[in-house]
Amino acid sequence: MNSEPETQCPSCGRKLSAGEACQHCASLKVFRLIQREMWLLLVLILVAVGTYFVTRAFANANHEMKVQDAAEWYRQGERLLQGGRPQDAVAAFRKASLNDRDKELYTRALARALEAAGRDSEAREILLQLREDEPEDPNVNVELARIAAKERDVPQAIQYYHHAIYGIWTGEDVDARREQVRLELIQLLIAHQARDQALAETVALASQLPATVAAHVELGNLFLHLGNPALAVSHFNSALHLEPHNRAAVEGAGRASFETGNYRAARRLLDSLPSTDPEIREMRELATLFIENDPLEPRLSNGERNRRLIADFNQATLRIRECLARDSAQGDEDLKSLSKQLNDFHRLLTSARLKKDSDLAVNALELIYKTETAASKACGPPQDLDKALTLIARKERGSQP
Amino acid sequence: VINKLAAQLRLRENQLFLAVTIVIGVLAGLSAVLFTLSIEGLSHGLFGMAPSAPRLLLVPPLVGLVTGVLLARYFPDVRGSGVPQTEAAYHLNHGVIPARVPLGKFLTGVLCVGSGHSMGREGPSAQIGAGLASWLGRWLGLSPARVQALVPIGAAAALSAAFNTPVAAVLFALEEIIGDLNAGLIGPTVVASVTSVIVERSILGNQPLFRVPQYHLVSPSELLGYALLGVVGGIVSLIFCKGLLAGRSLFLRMPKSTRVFQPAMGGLAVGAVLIAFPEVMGVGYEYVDQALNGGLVWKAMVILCAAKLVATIISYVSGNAGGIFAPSLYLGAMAGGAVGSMVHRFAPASTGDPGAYALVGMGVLFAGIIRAPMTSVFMIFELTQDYQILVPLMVANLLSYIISRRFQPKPVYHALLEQDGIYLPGPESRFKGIARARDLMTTNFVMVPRDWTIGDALGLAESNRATSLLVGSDGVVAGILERAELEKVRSAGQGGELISSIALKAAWPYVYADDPLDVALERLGDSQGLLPVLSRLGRRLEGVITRQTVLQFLDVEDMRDSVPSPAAEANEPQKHL
Repeated sequence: MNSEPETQCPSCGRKLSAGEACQHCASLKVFRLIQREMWLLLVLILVAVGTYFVTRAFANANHEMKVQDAAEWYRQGERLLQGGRPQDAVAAFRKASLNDRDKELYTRALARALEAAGRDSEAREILLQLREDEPEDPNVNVELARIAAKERDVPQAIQYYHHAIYGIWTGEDVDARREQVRLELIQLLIAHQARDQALAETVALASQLPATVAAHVELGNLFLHLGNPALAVSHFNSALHLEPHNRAAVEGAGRASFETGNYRAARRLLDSLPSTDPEIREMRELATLFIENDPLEPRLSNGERNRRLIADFNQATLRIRECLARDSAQGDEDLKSLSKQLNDFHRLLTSARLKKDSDLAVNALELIYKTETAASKACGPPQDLDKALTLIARKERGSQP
Repeated sequence: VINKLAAQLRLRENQLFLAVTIVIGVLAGLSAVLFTLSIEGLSHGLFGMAPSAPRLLLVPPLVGLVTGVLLARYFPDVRGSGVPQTEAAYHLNHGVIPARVPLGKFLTGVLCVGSGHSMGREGPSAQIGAGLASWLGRWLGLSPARVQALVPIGAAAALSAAFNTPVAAVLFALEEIIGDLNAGLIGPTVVASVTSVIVERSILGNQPLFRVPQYHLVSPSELLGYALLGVVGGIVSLIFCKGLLAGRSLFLRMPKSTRVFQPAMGGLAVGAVLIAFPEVMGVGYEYVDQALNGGLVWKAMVILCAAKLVATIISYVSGNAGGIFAPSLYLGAMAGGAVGSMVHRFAPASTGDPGAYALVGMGVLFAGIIRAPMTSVFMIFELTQDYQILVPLMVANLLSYIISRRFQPKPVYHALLEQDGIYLPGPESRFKGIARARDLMTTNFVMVPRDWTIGDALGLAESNRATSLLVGSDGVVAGILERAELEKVRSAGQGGELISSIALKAAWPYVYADDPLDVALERLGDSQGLLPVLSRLGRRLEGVITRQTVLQFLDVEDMRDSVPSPAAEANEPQKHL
């Protein structure tokens, strides 16, 4: 029987049959290769981890450097902006925001500088990007509202103002800042004749403002401007209650009282003010004329009441005669008709009849009102006593049911 | 057992390759981040926050003296962008990139871009990443094919971290470096690219490179505006490429002894530009950001476009280390913004903001200069993350690409390599498993030196029955002479004159060694029966192809005349002259 010749593995010395490869050595070789690879990979991973931390430290240092640069650019930008150089400030703020993109303050400052430089569309782009991240940011919305207002896009401006007012406010003096924004909105609405919306915003503002003299005066002025003198009087009085001699409150209260028809209070308040302001002087004189010629003034004797009414009637008659004497009004049929009515009525207007017929005074005042109105239309605005007569007659009309 | 172990080892290599791909993603990402940070740090150190005019003028040339020495003495292969060199290493050097390349590129790139040269950091990052990957592959003992595959992977990973656009980086590696969008390397390239961008974002945060404006096409007619941008972009691309190549050719013709000073010379010129236009310094992305967000008026954008074009050409051609990726985006943003402003002025209701045009312009110039249209589309898409931009972007890109290609047929990276005597294979030369020119050629040939007399050369041709003669020396072909032409000269009584007295034709048919069979046969048909085979590195003569060598390859006997069999031919070295 032929037995196969045996050989020995030259590496490990194991016995092998002829042509047979040494499995042990081959496996060992593979194992060593794998082992080497594993070690190399491990070294690589360690190198990668080490490099990662080195790079991170380097990146942090770089970031710190950029943050400092950004702060310096920001300071420069503020200086430039305050110095009236908005274009240079834009460049500085841009560098600040590029160096430290995390800080929205710089981006907002950039938008502010762009706005100051008249580059509204660029400012809007930046603000819209900021708004994308924080749609309820009140500061961004306010800036956008201001740009929209500047571009006369009132509906858009109102929308941004509302987003700002009802946005998420943080930091100090939140209420004061929010009220300031609402005030801006009211001013915008007033400027664009949106009185009803402005009044609604002012009422909302009144519910939030603190009870300070300044706040009451501010509100009083707003209500006065918006044609609601009653509310204005209320706020001015509240201010005077807190500070009786506050000049702005006294003036406001005087004006508001005048508007409400409380001429006695108006004269009292306006009398305490210096007469340098011609408007106040005129108002005061008118109030005095009103008080002195109002036949419906309470606590007047019958004789005085009748005397005043007749005097007022005579003044109205004089006004229409003078007016008819002018070339421009000579052919005015309404005036002629009124003149005739006045003459007819004049015969009825005696003290005795006034005593008997209480409607006579009312009718006389109505005729005075019509006369003054028509004369104003044909011959220009009334002066002094005629102005007071218009107010007296109007007040009487207003008190009628 | 051995087969089983071999299969096991192959499996291990696959697993190892995947692990290495991830590690390369990490390392390439880190290298790109470090590169960016180093450039910023050096720039800050050299120029401070608001550099003075003397500083702007003097820093680039002074640093240029240092980089000049480094580039001339220690790292001669890291000048310029790095992308063409990476392509050459991948296609012609089996992916082998010497270890000194990534190190040298890092150092010189930081010095050049950090000292204010108008160059980009993406190309150098790609070369650093590719170099690291190549070195790691060899260190781990991977097979040559794997080492070659790691080159585009490393480049994509580094680019992904440098530009924060992982998809565009993958496409760039496939489209530009490999030259084949269908390459099988897409999987590992994506893995490395994603790994790299994760690393980059974990360090620098997830902030986009630019604050990109919201894009929308205002009306379909606006596409005309984008078409105009495509045309303008194509023209600007062309001016840039032509200027770059002409300037580099000029610098290459200067004596070699001046190479050490060339970066400083360029630095001085760039410094002069920087005094007038500091905005073109370095990478310049902050001004790209401004153009995108409407922060520059059209006149400023036109001026900056021109200044950047000049500064970049000077920086590049003077042999500095830095890329043209970022400058092309800068030029695109400025050109796009300027075109957008004009278009918007004429048709404000039907056109978008100039920022949108600046954005599209970036892609347009990238497509025109780099000639990677798919990468440019995806890059801008990644920046905007908005589908709406695709149509105008593609319209404008296509026009720019066509114009640039029409008047500058060679892509700029390839043309730059050719100036260095390196000829990249075209797509037809990259298919595997087909016969190449090198399979058809014979190395048995002689070349006639130019100092031979016409009579001697003719005698040689007659004795070997050759119809054409190769003229040249030291493996470099100067031209091809027809035997008939030599006979004509001799009959005119000028047989004693030197061959150099005959004007050689400037163009003659040739093939590269890796050109496929069909290309070789077509060119042979154009030749007088003698086709030189050149190497892509230096265009040195590797062999010649004749009708006989082709027949020998095809194992067919030439029946037209009784020439010796191919076997016999091989023994007759003088046959192929």
